[in-house]
Amino acid sequence: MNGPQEQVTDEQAMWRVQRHDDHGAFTVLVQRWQAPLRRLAVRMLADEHRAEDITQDTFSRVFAHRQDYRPEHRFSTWLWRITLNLCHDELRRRQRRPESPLEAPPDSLEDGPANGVAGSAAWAASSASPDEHAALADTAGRVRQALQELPELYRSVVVLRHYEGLKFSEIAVVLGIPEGTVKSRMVEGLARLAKSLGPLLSDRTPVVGLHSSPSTAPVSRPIPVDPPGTHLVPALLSP
Amino acid sequence: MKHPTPEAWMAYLYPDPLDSSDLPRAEAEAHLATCEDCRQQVRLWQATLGILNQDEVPAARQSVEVAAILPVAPLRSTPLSHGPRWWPWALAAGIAVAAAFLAGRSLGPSRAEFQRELARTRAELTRELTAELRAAQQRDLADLATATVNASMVGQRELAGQLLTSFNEARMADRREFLNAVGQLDQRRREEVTLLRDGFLSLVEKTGGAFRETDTRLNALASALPAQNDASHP
Repeated sequence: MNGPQEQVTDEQAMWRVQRHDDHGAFTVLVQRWQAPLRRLAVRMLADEHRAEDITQDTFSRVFAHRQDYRPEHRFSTWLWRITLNLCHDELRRRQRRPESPLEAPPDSLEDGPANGVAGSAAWAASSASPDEHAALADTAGRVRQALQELPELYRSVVVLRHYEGLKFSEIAVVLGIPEGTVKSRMVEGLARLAKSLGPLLSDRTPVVGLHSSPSTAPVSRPIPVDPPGTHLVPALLSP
Repeated sequence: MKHPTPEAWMAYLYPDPLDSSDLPRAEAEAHLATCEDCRQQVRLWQATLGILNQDEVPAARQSVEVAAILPVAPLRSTPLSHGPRWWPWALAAGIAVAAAFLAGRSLGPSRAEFQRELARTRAELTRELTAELRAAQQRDLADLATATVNASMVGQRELAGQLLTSFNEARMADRREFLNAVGQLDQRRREEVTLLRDGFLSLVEKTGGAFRETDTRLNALASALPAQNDASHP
């Protein structure tokens, strides 16, 4: 893969995949999007192994349905929606056949970050003391647990908005609902999270943003603005 | 005092410069400065969002296997004459379904679980096969359209060749007919010339005999008249 090909937009790369079965362009899309999609799946499912499967399945479906993609629409919107649909299928399957996850529960911290759920990245990157490590891992585990207790329709909005940095208008397009509904779900989701995380919140002193920015998650990836009137391909979104 | 709606506060917490419908920041902060209820509510939201930041997803243990997704060779390079491209999938699906069925039968106690797995596998394979079949049909239709256009062009070429051949044959026939007509005219002209020559020769011959007879008579007459001629001259 050379430089110019890596600089093409997602839509241009997908067009090449669609028209010419361009393996290089498809590889570029995979490299760009596998991490965000995996993060979404991890937070929706709380299962890193299954999240990796979902990410693999997402790209398999993208290639299998490449002829269904309409270039006038944003590729990212299509991609988020496919992943969310796969997560939804997985959650429904779990409800039909409950199973115990292979990974340790988020609050079992005997093994520290090796349990794979409770923020091992923060553990590895931090220079805090073992007690502080344990406290961070405990907090991360409780947050992950609180997210899992959140109903799926609120969880998807919170994850897409807070962790993946999508705008409310973009989430509305991904989920196929009005923007006002997205904001209402965000309000309800935050209310439920605040209730679940109450003991942790009592230890913190938040700053109301009179002269400071809100304490939201940093968004490393810029999200381009959606052109007006863009819609998804419904056929692919309800397998 | 009129309080902004919770949805408006969401726009305050996640500002979007391009959204003109959002709660203006200055207006929101002015309200927060005077409204204790809203200030507490926003504090709670900010604290919740701050705690959410504690959850970080570890790095992936393995990347997406692109080679497992992409076909070995580009699909569009497969010629149309090779038949349906989805039959390997159908064969694989059949084998997988049969294997799952046999496994479900042989494992006894967990048969129900295998039945569910079998149903799930069948649904997934059906979905994949449907997508693959749809794509194959679209490609086949495109190839068929191309083949039809090519066949049409070949037919037009053959028709043009036949027309040219017919035109050449007609031209040759006309030429032969013209040469025949010219030959006939030439033959008739030769016959007429021959007849004219014969007639002329006959006339010459007849006229020549008469001249000779007249000459003879004139000679005889001249020999009989010399005396008269001498006497009449001085």
